[in-house]
Amino acid sequence: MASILIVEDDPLVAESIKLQLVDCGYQVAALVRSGEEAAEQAQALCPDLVLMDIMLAGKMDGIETAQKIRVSCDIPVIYLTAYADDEFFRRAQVTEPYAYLLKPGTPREIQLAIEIALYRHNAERAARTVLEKAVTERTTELEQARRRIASILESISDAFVSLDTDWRYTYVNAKAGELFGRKPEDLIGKHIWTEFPEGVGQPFYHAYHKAMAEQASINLEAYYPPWVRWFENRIHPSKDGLSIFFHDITERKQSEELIQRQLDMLHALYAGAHKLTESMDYSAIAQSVTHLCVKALGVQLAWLGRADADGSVSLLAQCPEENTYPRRISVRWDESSQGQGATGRAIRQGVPVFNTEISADTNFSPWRDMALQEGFHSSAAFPLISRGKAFGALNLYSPVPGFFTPERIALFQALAHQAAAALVNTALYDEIRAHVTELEKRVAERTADLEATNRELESFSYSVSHDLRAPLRTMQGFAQALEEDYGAKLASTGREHVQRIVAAAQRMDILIQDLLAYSQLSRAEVRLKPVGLAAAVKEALAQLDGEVRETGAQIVVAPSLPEVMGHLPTLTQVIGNLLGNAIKFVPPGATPSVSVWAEERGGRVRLWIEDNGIGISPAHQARIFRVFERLHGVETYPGTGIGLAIVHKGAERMGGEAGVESGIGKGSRFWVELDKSPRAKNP
Amino acid sequence: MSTNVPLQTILLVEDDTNDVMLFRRAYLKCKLANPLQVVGDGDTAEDYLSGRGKYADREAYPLPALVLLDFKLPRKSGLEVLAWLRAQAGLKRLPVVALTSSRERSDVNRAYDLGINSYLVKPVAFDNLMQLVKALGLYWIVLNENPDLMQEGRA
Repeated sequence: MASILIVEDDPLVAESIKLQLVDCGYQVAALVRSGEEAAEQAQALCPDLVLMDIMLAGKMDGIETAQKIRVSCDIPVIYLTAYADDEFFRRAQVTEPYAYLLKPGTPREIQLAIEIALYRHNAERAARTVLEKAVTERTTELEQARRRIASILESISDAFVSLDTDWRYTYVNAKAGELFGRKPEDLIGKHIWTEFPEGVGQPFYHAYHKAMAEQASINLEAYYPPWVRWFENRIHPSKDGLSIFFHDITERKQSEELIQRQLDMLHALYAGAHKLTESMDYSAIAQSVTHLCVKALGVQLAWLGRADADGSVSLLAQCPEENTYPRRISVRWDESSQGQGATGRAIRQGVPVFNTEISADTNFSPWRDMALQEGFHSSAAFPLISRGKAFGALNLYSPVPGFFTPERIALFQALAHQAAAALVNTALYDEIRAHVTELEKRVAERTADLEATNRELESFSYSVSHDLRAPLRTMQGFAQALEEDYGAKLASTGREHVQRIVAAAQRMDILIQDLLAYSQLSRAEVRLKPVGLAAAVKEALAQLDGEVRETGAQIVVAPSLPEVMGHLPTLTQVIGNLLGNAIKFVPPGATPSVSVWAEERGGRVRLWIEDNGIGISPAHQARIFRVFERLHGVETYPGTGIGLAIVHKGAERMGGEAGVESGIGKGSRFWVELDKSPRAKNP
Repeated sequence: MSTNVPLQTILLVEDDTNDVMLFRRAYLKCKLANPLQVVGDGDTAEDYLSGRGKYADREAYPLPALVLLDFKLPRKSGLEVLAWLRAQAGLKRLPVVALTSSRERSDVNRAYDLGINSYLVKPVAFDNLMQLVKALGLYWIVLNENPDLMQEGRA
């Protein structure tokens, strides 16, 4: 049964309503007359409903009271009114009344209004409860999500901040606070560029603005000079601002840079080594080694010293060239005190010698003051080794104490090996080149000598050809004139003498002409080309026509003769001499019979000329091809002793050979062998 | 050939007096009737041909129809004389036959380069010299049609 609080200042009306309510089966919780009372009772009694007279006497009218009840208790209110003006209604509306009842209302009207109000109130309360529950649940979820995100953001190793669109911090995680050296909560709501004005204009500044403006994520690795650190930033924009994850990558960057530096050094070393092996200039190699050490491998001074036989070390090259230190110091590689430094020991022992701090190196004492003045703090010497023996050293100085780490030692040692190999090669190359130059010079001298001799020979043969023959003409001509004009007056002996003079002059003329032919053969240019043997034989026979006819010689030439590599005039001369001999050297009274044929022998062709002549003893066969060699007296077989020399020389000039197979009384088979013509068909 | 027409002169340029004597002997024995003029060196040959000094008298020293030229001459060589002659407008067509003792290919080729008309080598045997002179006379005086020596053949 619903309990109802009645608020009515008119006692009669109040009682009437009370009776009506009881009649309708409601319980009247209380009956009060003023607003204050009503509010009090409502709170105390918690009725199911309040029937409220709008017009109440006292400080609070009905509307005010309803307002108060509504705020303090969740109790539906029905207004009772006799009449009311618009202003009242307007005010009443605000209190969300469940109904208005006009006094006096019928019990039926009152009951209906109360039931509707109760029902509605219950329904509303139920709905509100559901809603509240849902809200509570969502709130819890949200809170959990927020905590989860916060815990993630706090636990990640990256620093994280979020900024709103006004560049104010909305979140700063602990890691970010740690990096900033600030408490995160102190930064919330603060303007980023006010807090970190030094960041304005840095790469990150521009990246944040770009991300915000373009609404696109940006990843950026950049150096942040104010903190002397490298950072990686992942910047994610949204409509609410920016979320920025960032972390310190300085160490990674440093190790990357270290690796890069080492790579650069290796590249430099490789390029340098390549250059070393390419160059063939001793001092250029020495120069580029020191240059490489300084320009690419980071030492302050490099010099290359050669171990001289007297125990001293002489300077081959240095970089930078203007540094006077290598010229001022005196270094040796013997056991003297100046040989106790890194250079001397490296050369003597054949291993790298280095120190980490010059001022602490007792062996460095002879040069310490000068070295410290130059700003050197560490030094190293690497032996240049060839065939197991050091012939010099590469000497390096650095302003950095401990510069010569094991990695650098290994690197420089590799370079020193390369340099040593290149220097040794170049020295050998220079030696060979000097040798070649010397040889070339000698060849040139010999050639010049030969050319001079040749020119002398030419002028000699020229004068032989002219001047020697002029007196012969005179002798011969006047002897003949004498015979013709005065022959009748001479005794027969006198005429014979004159004839002998003429004959001698003629023989001498032939001799001179043969000699000329021979010497021309020796020095004339002989250009080889394919030549038909048949043509050469035919030409030679034509020139011998007189002799052939005179002797009645039988000459049989093979029907086909191949082509050879030769020089037609020379070949004709050679064959002509052989045929001439074949016809000439026959026993008295015999008719010459000559066969000519050829045979192929590998890539060569051998032309045979066989006669039925007197033959040649094997003992003489080697001699007959020499100039002026004669086996018979001029009376028996006239000749100059030059014919076979021409054969021999001619064959030689054409890249061939000549020879003979013969025996006394067996005839002779002379041959000339020449290269086969490449045009010749294969047999 | 009419006997009224004066016979054409042959000029021999030769320094060796022995050779000159033998040549004259062969010339006579071959019964060549053409006047033979002889000069002993290159300079004199140029004087003769260009009509300088006593050679201006063309009655006594007519311009020859043939020059026989030795190459080995004192001071100015025969090849130089030949080169000079071929450069003279009024002489360049004049037939010149080399009569020399050199068989050197370089001499022969150089002579043809300079425009020699024939190249003969002095024979040692006198009989051969006779044959040569006879052939010279027949070929160059009788058979050969000689050019006009004046410029552009106007005469």
